[in-house]
Amino acid sequence: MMVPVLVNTDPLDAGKLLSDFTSANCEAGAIVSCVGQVRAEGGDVNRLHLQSYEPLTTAGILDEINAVRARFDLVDLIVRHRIGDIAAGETIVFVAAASAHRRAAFEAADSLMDALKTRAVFWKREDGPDGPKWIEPRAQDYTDAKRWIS
Amino acid sequence: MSVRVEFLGRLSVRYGASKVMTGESIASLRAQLDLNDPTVRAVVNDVIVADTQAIASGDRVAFLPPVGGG
Repeated sequence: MMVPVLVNTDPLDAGKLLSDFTSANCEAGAIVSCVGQVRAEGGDVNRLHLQSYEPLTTAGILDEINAVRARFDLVDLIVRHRIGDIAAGETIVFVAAASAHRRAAFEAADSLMDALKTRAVFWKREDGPDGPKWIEPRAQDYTDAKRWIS
Repeated sequence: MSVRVEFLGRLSVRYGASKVMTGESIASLRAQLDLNDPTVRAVVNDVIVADTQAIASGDRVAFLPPVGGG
């Protein structure tokens, strides 16, 4: 199976990704998507810089995709992640899950986002008027991710 | 052994994005860098390793701070 490029510097068109994903999954009864974008923080953030470390970043995301696919009854699952400089309001990450019935798609998208936020190999730097600032992990993200441990 | 060591995330502020270092093991590099933080993981040739890991010329070596946030 050809592995799609999951991570690159190109802008993400979430609308087109969702449209293509929907068209490709006619057997699904429900599709749930999540678009993560750069918060402007009231002008305090001009852009976010995301750094990856390949091949660990892509391998880690593939592991998370496989874990979510194994856990939930899905028709399809997609993730696209941007790296490099990303302006406020632009898309950082797109996740979509397709399932026969909606619950699996909601939970799969939610759990995959939690995994991406806590375990994917990315480092984020906010570039704003006060200069660059590397972001530390948030306790809330770990609390969110623990909801899926059972 | 002389290797190029990469520093990811916030570590690049302190050490620069990368530099050439000489050492026999990850522990030796950590000592030179005064980098004792156990949450910073060492990677050699794309595998996360323990501090006892020996290094050889040409190895790809990096130090990775905790991921996530934002």
